[in-house]
Amino acid sequence: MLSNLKIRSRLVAGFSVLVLFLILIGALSLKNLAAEGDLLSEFYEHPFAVTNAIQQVDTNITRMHRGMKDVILYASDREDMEASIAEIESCEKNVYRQLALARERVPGDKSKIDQIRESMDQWKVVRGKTIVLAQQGKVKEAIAFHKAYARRTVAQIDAQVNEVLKDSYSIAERFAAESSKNQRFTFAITAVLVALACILAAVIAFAITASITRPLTDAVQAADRLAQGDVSVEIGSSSPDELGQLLRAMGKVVQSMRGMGETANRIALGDLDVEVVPLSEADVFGKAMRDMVASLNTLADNADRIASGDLTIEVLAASPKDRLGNSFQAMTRNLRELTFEIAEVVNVLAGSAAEIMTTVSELASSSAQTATSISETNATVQEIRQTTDLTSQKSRQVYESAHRSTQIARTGRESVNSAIGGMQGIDERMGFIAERIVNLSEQSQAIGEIIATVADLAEQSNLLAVNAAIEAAKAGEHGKGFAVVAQEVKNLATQSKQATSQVRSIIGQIQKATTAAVLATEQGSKAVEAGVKQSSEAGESIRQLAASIEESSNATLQIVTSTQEQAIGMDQIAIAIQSINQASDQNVEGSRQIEAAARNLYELNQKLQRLVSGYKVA
Amino acid sequence: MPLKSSSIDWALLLKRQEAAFQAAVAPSDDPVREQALLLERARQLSLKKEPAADGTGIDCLEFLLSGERYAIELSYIAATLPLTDFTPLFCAPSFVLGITNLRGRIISIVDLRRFFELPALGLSDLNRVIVVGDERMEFGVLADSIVGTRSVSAADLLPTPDTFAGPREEFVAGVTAERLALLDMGRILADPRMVVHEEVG
Repeated sequence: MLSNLKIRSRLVAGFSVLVLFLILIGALSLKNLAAEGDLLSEFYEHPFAVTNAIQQVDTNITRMHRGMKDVILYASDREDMEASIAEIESCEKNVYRQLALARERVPGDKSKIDQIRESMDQWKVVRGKTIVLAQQGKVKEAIAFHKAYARRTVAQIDAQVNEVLKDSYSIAERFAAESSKNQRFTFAITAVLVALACILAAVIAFAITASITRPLTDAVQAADRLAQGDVSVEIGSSSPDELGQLLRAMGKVVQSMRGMGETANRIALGDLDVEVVPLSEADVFGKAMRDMVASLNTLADNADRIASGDLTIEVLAASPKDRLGNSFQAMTRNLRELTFEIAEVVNVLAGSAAEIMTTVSELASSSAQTATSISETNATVQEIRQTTDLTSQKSRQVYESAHRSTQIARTGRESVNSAIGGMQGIDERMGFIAERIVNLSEQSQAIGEIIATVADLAEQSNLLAVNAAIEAAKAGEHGKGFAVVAQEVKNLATQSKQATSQVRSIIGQIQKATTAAVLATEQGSKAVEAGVKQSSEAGESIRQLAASIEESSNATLQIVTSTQEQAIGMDQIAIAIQSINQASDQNVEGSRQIEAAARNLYELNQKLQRLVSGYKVA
Repeated sequence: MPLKSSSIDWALLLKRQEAAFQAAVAPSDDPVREQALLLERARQLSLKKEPAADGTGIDCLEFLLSGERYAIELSYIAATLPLTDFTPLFCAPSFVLGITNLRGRIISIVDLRRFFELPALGLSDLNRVIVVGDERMEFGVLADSIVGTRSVSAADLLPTPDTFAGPREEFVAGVTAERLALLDMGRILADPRMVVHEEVG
């Protein structure tokens, strides 16, 4: 029932109840206070005032009584007696005034007050007589009179006054008792009401507080869980009040956050196909999420392209603080540079690997060749070893033959001498031949002169033939035969001329031939001269040869000994070559392994090149 | 070492020598070759007859002058002779080379190239003189060499081409297809420039 009301209504209702209670209590208290006041004023006006007035009456009577005594006592001193009489009179006035007051206020029986007044009137007469006696100086009569009458009157008045006083006291006591009773009743009522109000206020406060705080506590707990990021909390309320609205709104917030959370979870799991639709224009979170998905999609596309090897893309950072974009950009750039460098390195590596392969192949082949060469060398060394033995034998034979050679050289020198003589004979013959040939050349010169003459004759014959032809033409018909003759003559002349030119060319050839023959004989002569010289040199050479054969026969002896030493050296070389052979075998094996490694390297490089070529850099 | 003689085959050389001597002594007539030669000449002679039978043929003497072929009609020619010696004439035109003695007659020698005022003179042997003349005038014409007599058909003569410019144009009767220039000798002989009459003080 309470929870169906709005909080304001609830508070208003509660406070209204309390205020009503307060008004009730206040009114009650005010009424009681007013009753008390009435009682007090009544008490003051009646018993209290009467008592007071009677007491004053009593006091003044006492003072009057004392004054009368003074009057009697001080009758000799007129002045003092006058003062006392004045005082008695003022007190008498007071008494009357008070008696009037008391009579007015006294409740109930007023007769007693009237009695007091009558008594007072009687006393006054008595006093007058006394005072007059005192003034006449009859002090003893005065005292006696006073004693006789006054004392009695005063005692009577005292008794009356005391009676009135006693009545007045009883009335006052009655009043007090009534007032006290009234007060106790009011206190009790008020106390009960206050207690009731307190209990009611407590109940109302508890009810309202409870109706407000319970949903608030739920909301605070939900908000705490939300603050810790727990969106699984279920918030809902069927209450129509503000808190209900608040809780429902929070429930929507939680739902929205849960949706966002799921979307974010999908994004976190890498699912970028989510469609984020902002809830409103002001949905910053939704728009940010949408932008984030779009940006992530772009980045994912770029990453796809990079993954497929396309490094030409330029990633643009969404903002200067776009760490992912900047990282992507830097990554792409670095990848591109890296790929460039790798490509260069791969190219260099390819060249190097190829070179290594070539070199290793060459090395392998050269190692194989070395191995072959070493085995050949080994064989050669063996051969040399045998040859050395042979050399030893041969050098011995050479030594023996050197002796023979010396004798042969001597014979050779003699032969050379005789050859020199023969050559000198040839030289003389050559001179003779040259002379004859020169003679022939001179004779052919003479033939040439004759031929020139013949050619001149032929020329003249030709001219003559022309003239004859002219003459024949002049002779007309008779000269016809002559013209034929002239033509014949001309032909003859022409042939003669041709013949002379042939002869002249033959003579030119003969002259050339003779010149060549003369030159040849001259060369022959020179050759003979050179032959003589060479023969002399040969003779000298043979002599030197003989000497050197002597030397060589001596050297041959040394060769024999050194050949034996050589044989020992050859044995050592054979052992050394054996070691080299083993090393070479190892070398071959090693180079084969290197070749295999280089081939692997080359294949690896090919693979690397294929990999690198998969990246598109520019 | 066996001593080997030179590679000359002396026996062969001597044999060749013998053959050469015999060839020199033996008579040079060869009946077969002579017969062939005579036949050839007869054939050529019979060929020459044909242009003469044309009737309009001009008998002329062909000669060379600085490589060019010229011809002069035989009727103007007295004789040809070698240029043995001549005497230069002072105060004569440049085309007059000099005078010479022809069997007791004094004739002047004319250099046709200078007469034709050909600007560039080619190489020349100039060792033949063709004596031309008619009833009024007689002089020798210089030639490099004489080719011989021939007959030129009047129909073969063509008008002088443009290359024959200058003074010689008027003295050329015609040119054959073989570039043989037939000189109009009658006009040359009649030319007044040929008559040199100058007195030098």
